Amino acid sequence: MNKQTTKLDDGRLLLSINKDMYDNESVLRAAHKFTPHCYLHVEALSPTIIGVYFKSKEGSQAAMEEIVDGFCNELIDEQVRTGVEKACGQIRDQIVKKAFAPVE
Amino acid sequence: MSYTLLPFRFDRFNGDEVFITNEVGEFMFASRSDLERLVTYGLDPDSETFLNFKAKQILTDTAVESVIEMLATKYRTKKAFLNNFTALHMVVATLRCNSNCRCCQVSRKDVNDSQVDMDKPTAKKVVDTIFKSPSKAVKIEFQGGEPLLNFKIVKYIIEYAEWKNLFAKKRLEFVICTNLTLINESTLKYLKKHHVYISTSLDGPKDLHNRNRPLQDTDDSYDIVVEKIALSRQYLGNDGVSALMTTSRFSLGNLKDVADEYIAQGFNEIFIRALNPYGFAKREGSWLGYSIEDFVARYLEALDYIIQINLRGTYFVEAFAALLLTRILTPFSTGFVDMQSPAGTAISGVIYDYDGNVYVSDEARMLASTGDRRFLMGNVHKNTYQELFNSEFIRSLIGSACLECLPQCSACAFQSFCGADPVRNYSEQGDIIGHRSTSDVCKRNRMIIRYLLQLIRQKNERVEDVLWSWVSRRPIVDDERGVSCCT
Repeated sequence: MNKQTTKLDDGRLLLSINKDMYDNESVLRAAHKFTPHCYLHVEALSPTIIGVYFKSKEGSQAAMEEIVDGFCNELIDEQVRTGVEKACGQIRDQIVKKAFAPVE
Repeated sequence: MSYTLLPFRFDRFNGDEVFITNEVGEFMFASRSDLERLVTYGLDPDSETFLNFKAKQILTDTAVESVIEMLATKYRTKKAFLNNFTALHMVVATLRCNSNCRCCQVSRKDVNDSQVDMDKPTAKKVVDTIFKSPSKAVKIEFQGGEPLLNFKIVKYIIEYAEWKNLFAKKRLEFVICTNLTLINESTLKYLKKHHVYISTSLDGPKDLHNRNRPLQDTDDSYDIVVEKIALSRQYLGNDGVSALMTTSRFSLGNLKDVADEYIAQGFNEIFIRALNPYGFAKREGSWLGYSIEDFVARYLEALDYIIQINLRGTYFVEAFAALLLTRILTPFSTGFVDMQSPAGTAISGVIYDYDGNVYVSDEARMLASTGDRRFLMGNVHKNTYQELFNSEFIRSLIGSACLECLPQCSACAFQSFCGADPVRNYSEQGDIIGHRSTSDVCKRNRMIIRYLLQLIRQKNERVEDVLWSWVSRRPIVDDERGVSCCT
């Protein structure tokens, strides 16, 4: 278990995420993708930390830890996507706008 | 910063590899470290990696405006299926049917129930509505039930449409979807005269077909269907008759036999389709059904088998793979009403029920037959064309059926190859947006697209030739001998 993950008394795992590294949007997108695998709850724990709670639908603690590890990898991918969107989302808008503009 | 990033999407592929697509679906494979260098502006502009990304318009080191212009042109090409609005108009001539298919998705009615026949006033209104479509090409597809049970209305619609087209001058096509068991030479002469194509159902070899599709008065429909396919071809030619299959639990483990049957019956294409959750099929789910994972596993086995058939010299296409490959490998538009973005519901295809009710898709009509009219557009007797096709309901539906705006789809690397289906989302998951992570359709599409990409990645020349022959719809030619390799 990585040092950002805490096992809670009720069996849930809590992943603490630094807001300086990851946008809210990235965390939510990653959480949305993992809803088939477990129950998740996302909450701001402090001005700089987002907490993601993982609760098993079924399966072992080891399986849950693997899910959290997978979530961390997905979170990195989602943050890259968020970064790309910020860098060139406007370009996409221009492409689509031009594509559907009347042809002169 | 020596370059500008252009919009792209990515997904992990194999091991260290990522699959990257630009805004119009042009793709490449790269390592994770190359992706990291790309997004941190750490690429060496003299490197081959840089040039690869530039060639795929994932970055540019020139003026952005000219690249936007080029990508916009490509985007417009990809979405060209939207140009002319609704081209496919399905017409339910009757809900009566003489078949007794266990997987019936339209909740057919008794063969003697004439209350469910389309009448002439409705048929006239339907054709009038069809010809208000701005589309330069119109395909009228007769559905049912069994449309031959109300052939007089089919004829009326054909002749009235042809008359209207003398003035409208559209590219007008007719297709009749029939089990063929009631067809005779007189009907075939008529269909030939009016250039009507036939689409029938063939679920596999005799035992499979009979198990899935018995008739009401006999379990042995196969012999009749095969005989009538041959008869129909005498009048309409080989290309005038096509067949579709539906995969039931019984056929799932026998898809290779189904493919062999199609070849034996002279078809050069098969569309391996999973059972959809509508009508009697939904009711009989436990009898007929299987998991989507099972379906995809069997589908991919059958796909490999079909590729081997091609490699041995017989040209035979798996249609769903061909559609996806066209989207992956070419810049061209492929309108496929069940899988496009925006969804084809109403704006590409629409269905007119026997009573004049208009639904956004055949699946929507199937839902309505079980009592859920969520996707009813209106009725040809009560609503104008504008009220049917330009309503707030349609605008809202289409607005919720663009992959570019849907959760997960908006960031999916496979977006350009895939499509939205709000009716399916609603039927399976309870809302038109749907939840991608638990969606069977998403799972199916992702697994099959991924497999096709792996085939492309392997760069096996002979397999590539087969895949391209499906895209180009032409058999492979032996370059040395200049002859077709395939029968």
